[in-house]
Amino acid sequence: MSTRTTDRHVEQYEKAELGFWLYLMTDIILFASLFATYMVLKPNTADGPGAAELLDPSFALIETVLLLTSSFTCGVAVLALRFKRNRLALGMLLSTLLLGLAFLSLELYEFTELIHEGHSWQQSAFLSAFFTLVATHGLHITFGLIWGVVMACFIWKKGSTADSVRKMTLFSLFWHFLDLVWIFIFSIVYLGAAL
Amino acid sequence: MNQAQFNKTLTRYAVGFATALALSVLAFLTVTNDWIGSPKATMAVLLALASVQLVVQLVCFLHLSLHGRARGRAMTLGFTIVMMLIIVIGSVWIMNNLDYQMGMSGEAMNEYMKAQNEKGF
Repeated sequence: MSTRTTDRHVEQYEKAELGFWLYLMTDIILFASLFATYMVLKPNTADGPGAAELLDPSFALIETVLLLTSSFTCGVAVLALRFKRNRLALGMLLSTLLLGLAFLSLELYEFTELIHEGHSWQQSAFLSAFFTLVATHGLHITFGLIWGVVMACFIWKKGSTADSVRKMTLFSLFWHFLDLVWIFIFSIVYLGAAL
Repeated sequence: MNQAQFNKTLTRYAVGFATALALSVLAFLTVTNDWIGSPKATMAVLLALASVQLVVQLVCFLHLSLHGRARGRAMTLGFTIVMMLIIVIGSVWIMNNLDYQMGMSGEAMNEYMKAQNEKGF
């Protein structure tokens, strides 16, 4: 009986993981469309400033380091939870959320600066594409942070159970995926801007 | 579920983190110091570095592999990457080709759009 329930648990876990993975795959298609739009519209600045004048690669490097570190701490959090080191898991998850929050704040700061200088998404096709691409990623981060807070409460209450490990694994897939998308935004949008 | 296993996985995360960080900084330095020169070649190098980092993170952080339990995920990812490349390369190719066939430079197009705007669409 007990082995049968464990098998069912494992099977359920694998189904959940594959299902969530398929959602991430559809998200790749969404981001691919936005990247294609950005690449096509990048030269269409409508006489306004282009990527080279508006975007700062050094600023984006700081964001990259923050998000990359949060991706690392998120991985360690899952590992710790799996090995029933609940305090380490919780600490790592909280660092992940703080780093994610810092990343999001920097992004919002950049957006408000651009808008205050009169370079909102209404100025040119290039800026529309830029804001859509980067803000879609930012929106994913926002929802990831909400999910992360819920996860932290869940772990704090329930500790390391098969259920919490499964949920935390799915969260980590999402968070690592967002880091991967950001690497391409960093390379194509911010580093590509200087070219 | 022992200490050795824990350390092994932790090392894997740490190696992935260090490599990803190094690749990001390398990409940044390539652009800021203008090591390559031509913008097109630099973009190609940036995409190559990003792709290497993609593989590193997939293996170290997302535990992707062509064997065992992760195989299904690797296959769906492979398919999605093909779709992604078709969308991105296809769009850029078609739109650049249209741009070329129009025979108008960016400035000429801007002038044309402004003239149309003054007439009132």
